[in-house]
Amino acid sequence: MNAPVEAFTIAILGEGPEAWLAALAMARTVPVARRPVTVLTDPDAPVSSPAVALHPSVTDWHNALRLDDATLVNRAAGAFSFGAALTGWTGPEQTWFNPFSGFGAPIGPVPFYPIALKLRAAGVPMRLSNFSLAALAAQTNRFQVPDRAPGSVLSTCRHGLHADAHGLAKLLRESALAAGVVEEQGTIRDIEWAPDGAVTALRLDGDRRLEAGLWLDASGPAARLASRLQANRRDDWSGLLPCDRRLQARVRTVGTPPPYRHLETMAQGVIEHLPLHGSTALSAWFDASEIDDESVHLKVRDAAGAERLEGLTIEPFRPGRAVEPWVANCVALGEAAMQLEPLGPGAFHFARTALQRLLELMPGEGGSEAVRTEFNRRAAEEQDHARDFVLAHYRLNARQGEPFWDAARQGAVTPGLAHRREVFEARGIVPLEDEEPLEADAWLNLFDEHGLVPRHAGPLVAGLDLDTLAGHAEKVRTFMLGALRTMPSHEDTLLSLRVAKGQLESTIESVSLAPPGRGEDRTARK
Amino acid sequence: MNVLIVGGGTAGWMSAAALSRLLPPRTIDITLVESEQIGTVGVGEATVPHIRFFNQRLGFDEADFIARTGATFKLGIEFRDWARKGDAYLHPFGAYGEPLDGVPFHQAWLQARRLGLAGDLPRYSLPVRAAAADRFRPPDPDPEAIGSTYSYAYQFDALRYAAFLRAHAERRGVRRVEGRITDTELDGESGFVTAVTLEDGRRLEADLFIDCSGFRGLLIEQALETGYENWQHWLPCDRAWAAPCPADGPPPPYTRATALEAGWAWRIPLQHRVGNGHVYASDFIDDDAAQDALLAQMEHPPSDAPRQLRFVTGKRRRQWHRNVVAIGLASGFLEPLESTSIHLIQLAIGYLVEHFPDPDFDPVCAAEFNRIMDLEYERIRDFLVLHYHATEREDTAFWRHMKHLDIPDSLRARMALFRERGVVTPYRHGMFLDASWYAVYFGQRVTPAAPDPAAVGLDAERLKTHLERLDQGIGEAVEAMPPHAEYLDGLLARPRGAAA
Ligand SMILES: Cc1cc2nc3c(=O)[nH]c(=O)nc-3n(C[C@H](O)[C@H](O)[C@H](O)COP(=O)(O)OP(=O)(O)OC[C@H]3O[C@@H](n4cnc5c(N)ncnc54)[C@H](O)[C@@H]3O)c2cc1C
Ligand SMILES: Cc1cc2nc3c(=O)[nH]c(=O)nc-3n(C[C@H](O)[C@H](O)[C@H](O)COP(=O)(O)OP(=O)(O)OC[C@H]3O[C@@H](n4cnc5c(N)ncnc54)[C@H](O)[C@@H]3O)c2cc1C
Repeated sequence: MNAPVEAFTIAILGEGPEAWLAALAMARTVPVARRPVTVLTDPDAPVSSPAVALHPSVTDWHNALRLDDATLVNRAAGAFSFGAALTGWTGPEQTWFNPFSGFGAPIGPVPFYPIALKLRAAGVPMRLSNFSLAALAAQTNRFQVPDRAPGSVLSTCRHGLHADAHGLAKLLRESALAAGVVEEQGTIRDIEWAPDGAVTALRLDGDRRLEAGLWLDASGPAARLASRLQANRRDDWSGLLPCDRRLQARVRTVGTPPPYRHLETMAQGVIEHLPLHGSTALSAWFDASEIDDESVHLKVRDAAGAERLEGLTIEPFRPGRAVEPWVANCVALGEAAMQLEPLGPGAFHFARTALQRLLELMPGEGGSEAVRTEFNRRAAEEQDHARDFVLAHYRLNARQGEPFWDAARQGAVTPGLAHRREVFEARGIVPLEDEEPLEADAWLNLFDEHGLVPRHAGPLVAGLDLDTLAGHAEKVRTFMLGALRTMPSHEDTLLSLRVAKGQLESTIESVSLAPPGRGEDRTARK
Repeated sequence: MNVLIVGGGTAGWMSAAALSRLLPPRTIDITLVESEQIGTVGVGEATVPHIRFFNQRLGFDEADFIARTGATFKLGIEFRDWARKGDAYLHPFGAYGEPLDGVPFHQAWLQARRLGLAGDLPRYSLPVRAAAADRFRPPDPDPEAIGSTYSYAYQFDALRYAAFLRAHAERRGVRRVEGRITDTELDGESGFVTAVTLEDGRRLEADLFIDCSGFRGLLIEQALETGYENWQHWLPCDRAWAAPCPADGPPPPYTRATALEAGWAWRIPLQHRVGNGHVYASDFIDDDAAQDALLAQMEHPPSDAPRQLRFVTGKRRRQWHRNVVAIGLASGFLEPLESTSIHLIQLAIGYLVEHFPDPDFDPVCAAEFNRIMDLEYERIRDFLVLHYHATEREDTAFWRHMKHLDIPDSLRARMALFRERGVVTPYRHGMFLDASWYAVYFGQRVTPAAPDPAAVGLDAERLKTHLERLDQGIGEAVEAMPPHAEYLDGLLARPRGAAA
């Protein structure tokens, strides 16, 4: 058979899970015999994040990659998640929960939110998350993988997963290598350019040379290649988002990880707890002009209730995105394309959606002009929406009397966020556009918990009397509590997956806490 | 809240029927005013599948509706002579084929065609082949069955549909007033419409006015001077001749749109007659020649004298301005090439319910309604322009003009993407899904330079088997369908459920 051979080979830069995910996705779509894939890893590269949060749609993507929850639980210290608990944002000591899934149930054409608004106006305390099975389960440390049976309460939940970044990278790497991906270790010495600005080859240490037709840069914030393409300008968000440094570490834990991540505020920033099996990954984002590294270190240590933090790194954090993540023949993925605090989905999620877009728009023999333009257009739209979601948490925060938080409330608001807020405050609905990283309910819950109150609940709920509404809410709640009662604990679910694998202790990778070959506190500064 | 619907054409009665059904009773009081003397536009017979959900939500019984409106079933639109004279394709209500190993079907098909393994694209569409065989049956409810891979719409008599809706709306308490509006009163401060006055001096007040007065835009334009965005530079057809005629044989389950020298002609088969029309650009052909062209391609002489209609393609700058919401022809006009007008009415009603004004008329609701309706209008506009622009015809000044047209940037980017890689980016708001774009692109000879690299990687044997299996499955499913006329007769013979 004389089918035409692919026009190019692919080289991927990076060593973390994003790079190996990219490699695996590429090798799974076109056999490497037709389109070779090389991953260029750099032994001197800075450490990537200790853990990643897989957003629900990531788990949907498992199938294509032939991965499953059980493998991640066993091999990447995986723990499940129903969403995020947020403390201190809406008031001192206040916690609210934003599940991956929605709330309540409609009455015919009347959505749940206007129902809640009308009941609340009549004095009934209505918290949206109390009508989310996922939130109720998270609070009581229960977890069961949602089914898809229509009509089942469990099918209203969506789940994500936290994984050890090193374990996940290793897992993806094994699969990628098995699928024929080649790994090359090396440091970039020089770049060879084509006259049109495309990268034709990289010169590596030891006089080696790597050629490729398409380059994917998943090398993290350093963007080892993407940052070198002159046209790759950045849309800088430091004027909008206050944090400019990030701490990452982990602590050992015993017992079952909670089935959610936790985002708590401190006086000068945010701390994230991402629970894994046997450890918790900790990150903090803060304003370096407000607090020094050592103080943050101590705060995070205290927040974790630990004696010491392991694998500590502290580095600059630059919120913003590449104006064009795809320039010439180089596509930036993950933190090489955007840095943003993960109050919504994190960097791994955006690497994943970028890959999905790239697969959809992969240049063929027809060229890459239109697909590149489209990729960049859609990436920009998605990333700006993601930024607006994060921005909303800051602008609406209720921590009073602290310079960092007072200033965060005051700053400018993007037109996109202003529009969403305006429509919400008018009507209790959230407009969605084409490339949305989050569902409408995530925004509704955010605005609602932060105390925004729609002026009007819409015309449809006006036709339903309070008794009907209260009865409905009660029924939904009873239904969910019933489902909650029979839901296994997160611990039992994790155990059953380990047992299902049939090789309990033997195959569980001992996940090394410190990244390989790396001393502690490497980048910490006083 | 008092609502006055101005106009009793399809838009007015659809709005009255839907709002009286969807909005809680006792919260609104609806009156509709219409003038028999002025009458309705009287055309608007071909629809898209969404009309079924409209009918369902209103609780209509399908057989009853079919019987009362002289309706037939519609699987798509056949386009003749668009890219080249002699070409014909059907834009079906359904996607082609099924994906293979995650590769979209049309990409797999492109690869198979390169390898000489594939038949023509329409072979892999059930509705296309059913339409070609004049067969019809509603889709199989089992989503796994190949017989579930399409949808359908109706072709009906617009006047009868309005009467059908009227009966329904009046049963639900809508008050109908006959009379001609001669005057409109505005509030001096807010500029809101406060009342309209009829020829006989009666005065009708309301809080919300829904302007369904047709092209004239009695309130939105004549009273509020909202302004109009003219799109004639992209879609230059501005007139139509319409004439019914008796049918030559049983009705086929599709509408036909034949490209003529300076426009195109529709043929819409109903139970009792055929609707014909010629939409043309008066800059390129005169009225008499246009009428002749219509009659020349009709199967029978007209049963009524041809009627002329004039229109300006475009939309109101704001569809909702102050306390006036324009729906139907009062809101704008897009030629009926893809049967979109009634659907736009339906969309406007849905978004109006979602953003229904509160007593204070929050301007945010109007702005949001306008934002969404603008997107819908613009995206349909792009899809229509595609039909004219994707042509090789240069046989008349009109077609040369359309072929070399300076098209909207949004369409240019979409076409470039399709030409380069065969991709259609889906919209959140925008009625035409990717399958519709594929149908028109391929039907009008816009083909991608090369398939998706993932399709190139597919195993040839698997590809071949996949296509053969589809071809055969569709063939068997079509074979099992009854002729359209037979299905229709069976439905009409059934004892009818009362209209809801
Ligand atoms: C994993 C996790 C999941 C969580 N899920 C939920 C959850 O599903 N539901 C939940 O209520 N809390 C949830 N929380 C928050 C946590 O349980 C709160 O600390 C707790 O609700 C606070 O209760 P409180 O009595 O201390 O005070 P308050 O927060 O002051 O609450 C007092 C009462 O008012 C209600 N209330 C509070 N805020 C609102 C509001 N905006 N609108 C209407 N009523 C309101 C509360 O439900 C409660 O009945 C979650 C926390 C975590 C860590
Ligand atoms: C040539 C052509 C072909 C078409 N084909 C299709 C098609 O196939 N499919 C499709 O979906 N759409 C089609 N349309 C569009 C479709 O006809 C309209 O969308 C639909 O009929 C709605 O019209 P309307 O109710 O807005 O206006 P009209 O039918 O014009 O109704 C206007 C109403 O307002 C009343 N009115 C006006 N002025 C006054 C006054 N001063 N006082 C009192 N009452 C007043 C009139 O009496 C009338 O009741 C076509 C349109 C044209 C022009």
